Amino acid sequence: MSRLFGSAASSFVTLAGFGLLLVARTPANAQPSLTLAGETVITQEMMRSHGITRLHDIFWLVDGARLSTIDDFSYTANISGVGRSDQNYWRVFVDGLPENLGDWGVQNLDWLSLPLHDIDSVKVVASPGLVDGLQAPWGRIEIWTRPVDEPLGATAMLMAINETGDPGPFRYSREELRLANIDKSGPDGTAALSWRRNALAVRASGAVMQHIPSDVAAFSRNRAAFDTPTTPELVLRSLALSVRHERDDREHALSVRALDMDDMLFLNSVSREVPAQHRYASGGYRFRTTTSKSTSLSVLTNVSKLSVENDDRATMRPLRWDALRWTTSAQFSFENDLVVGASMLVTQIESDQMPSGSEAGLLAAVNMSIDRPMADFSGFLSTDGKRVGFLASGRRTFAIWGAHSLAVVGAATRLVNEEIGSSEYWTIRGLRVDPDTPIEVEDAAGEAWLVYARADWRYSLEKSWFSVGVSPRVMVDGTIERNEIRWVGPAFEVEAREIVRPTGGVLSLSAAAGTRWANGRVGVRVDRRIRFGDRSYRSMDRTIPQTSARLKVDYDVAPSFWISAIGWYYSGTTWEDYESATATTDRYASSLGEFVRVDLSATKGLWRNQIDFSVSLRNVFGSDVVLHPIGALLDRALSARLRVDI
Amino acid sequence: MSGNRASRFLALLLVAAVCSGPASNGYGQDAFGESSLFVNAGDRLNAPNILEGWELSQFVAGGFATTFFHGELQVGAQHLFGRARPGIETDVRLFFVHVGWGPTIRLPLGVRWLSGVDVGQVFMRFPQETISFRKSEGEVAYGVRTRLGIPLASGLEADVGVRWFHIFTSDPIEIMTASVGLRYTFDSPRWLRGLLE
Repeated sequence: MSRLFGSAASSFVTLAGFGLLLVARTPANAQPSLTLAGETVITQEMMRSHGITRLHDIFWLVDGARLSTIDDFSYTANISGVGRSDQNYWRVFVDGLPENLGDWGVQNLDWLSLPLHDIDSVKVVASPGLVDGLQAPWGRIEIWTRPVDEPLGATAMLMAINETGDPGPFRYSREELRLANIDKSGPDGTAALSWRRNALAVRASGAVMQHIPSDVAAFSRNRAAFDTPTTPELVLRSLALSVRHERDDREHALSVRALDMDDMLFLNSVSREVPAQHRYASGGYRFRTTTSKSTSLSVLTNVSKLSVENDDRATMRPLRWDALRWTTSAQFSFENDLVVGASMLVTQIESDQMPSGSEAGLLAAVNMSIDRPMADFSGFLSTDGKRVGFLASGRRTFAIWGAHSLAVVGAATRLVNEEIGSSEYWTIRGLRVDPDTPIEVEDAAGEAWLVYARADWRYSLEKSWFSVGVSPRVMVDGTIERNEIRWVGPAFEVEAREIVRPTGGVLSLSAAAGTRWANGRVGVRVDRRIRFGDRSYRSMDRTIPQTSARLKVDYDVAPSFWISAIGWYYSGTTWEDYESATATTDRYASSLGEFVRVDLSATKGLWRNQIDFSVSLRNVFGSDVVLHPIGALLDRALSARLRVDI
Repeated sequence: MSGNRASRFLALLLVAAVCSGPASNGYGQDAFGESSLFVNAGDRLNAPNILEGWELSQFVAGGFATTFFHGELQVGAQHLFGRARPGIETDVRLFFVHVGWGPTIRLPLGVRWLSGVDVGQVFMRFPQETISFRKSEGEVAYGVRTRLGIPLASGLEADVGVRWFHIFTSDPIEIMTASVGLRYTFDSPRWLRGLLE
């Protein structure tokens, strides 16, 4: 009965959305300065002047986003700024091609071996929506690279980050400093070669990232718990190739990437890091053609394979996870704004973490969308053969009168096995700490209702603007798996397990203002979030800082010299990655106090800006940004970046 | 020197920059028009906490500077060596590699007051350490300096001054040094200006 009701409701909402669209019109007097609600665009110039060193650093610049990291290597980012439930579940597109980056559905931007300088812009959309027939209920990140214009080009970048608080020479003279913070990232290196001849453009790139975590103590504990003789280096190596051919009305685009990474996976079930190796390969292809004067066809597909296994030397308890994903979408465009299409997502997972050993699923969907300069609407109906889900979303910006505008976005979705197959949806499966006592698992993908809305009123003058926004988000009947784990000597044991179905939401209020002058820009934004819902929901979203503020200043000192400053304030909250910290042990308590963080950057261009050198001081005042549950602090850090473009 | 004193010194530098003359373009007067190479040597003036385990020797320093935005931009390095005291496993070598900026004030008799603030990294090397990944370490540091350039001959100056720098180790190390040396200033060749602009 409930399934029948769900299907009827989803159809109704989808049709109602298209009905609304019939009366929606792009404002005739739409101005270029108008913005869509919940959308931030990061340009190459912004990345350069703010000393961005790794791709995930862009989240510091996204309006209303929350980035949590203690080491600049692993991180969680929540682009809507609310709740833990959607951290890192956004969809990623590079030049319009979808990418499946990461494990367990958790996306990691740094897995793209994209030299930062090859990025033209990044559009971050916090609201649910649809791109090329693929749904993005938790928001999306669209990365657009620089067009390959020159017959031959090359770019390379080196960067390193060092965090303060190292023991220095005192590790030899003071017993208490033998395990102090030795955090450092890099040196990282990325390089790309590009080549163009007539309609054919080719770009190949490679990247190496490395990191020595702050947490020598964590490794010491792993040695004790898992008999781990690992050294504390994390290394990521990746290669990518993209080929594009455009002639007349046809375009072919191919993208291939491969990655190998030595990592430490944090597993909620054992509340600790486990050494693991990731291997990832992905291939995507898109074909576009004009079929008549007013219609065109776009077909895209992406296949990715992820393999995760723990270091054999590290633990006697195996962790193996192989996931294959195949995404295909075909879209017909009419009159350049109406798009109708179908898509398919196939997932196959093999893992000794599953009772059955393997699992496969298929999600088939049809979609329709209308995309206009200052308005879009998308409808998406999907089924996995058992249940029917939908997504309906719309955005529109109204030029009200004079300098006033109103941007609204609304979305409703019924998620069913959103990551199909999808034991991986809500929870990272635990390491089986005792082979004789497996952690019971269920299909935690479940179902959930999600309703999202946002309205931003904006007052724009020639060089200044002011806006206020309100954004409620409600989730009903989500599914969360919780384990209670107890340390019993050389290993952890699961004592009890619980499935909770939280219902609740967050009401976000924001105010922002900005101004610019000949050589500079200043922007300030304040967000206030109010949680509501049942106890389990409030517990899940307790990682939200109720109040946050950001002040951003950019100053172009000269044509090849840029300085910038960003300050953040976060009220007290809970450390996001350790949200599952249990009450069974205070050892993993993770409450955070309020803090202020200030970053300063200076970038100097050399040789007509074909070379630039950037230095950034992060957390200048050394606030205790994070008292990491296992003892690490985010201290001051110095980053340096050298980029050469030929 | 405490952090407050360093802040006051920085404020003084900014005032000096404003007093040093109007900007003729985005970078100030004749940006990159002159370049300098300098070397100096000296000794510490204070008793930093690192002395608990190591005896610091005299140091050498050197670098490159060019006119830039009401003053000069400087890239340099300073090397100190600490010999382990009994009971300490290894010696330590400290390389402070830094980039900095400071205003240039012209005084009577052709003397120049060259001060500035530097930020960089102190690379530490522990030569007797046997575990490979523990042989070296790096730590963020910043410093302030004040120097006098006393003309000796065309383009050549005696370079006299003091530097204080702060290394952000878990127990911070603060070292104040005094040094004398030579500085040679020349018109930047065209290729160098092309690179820097």
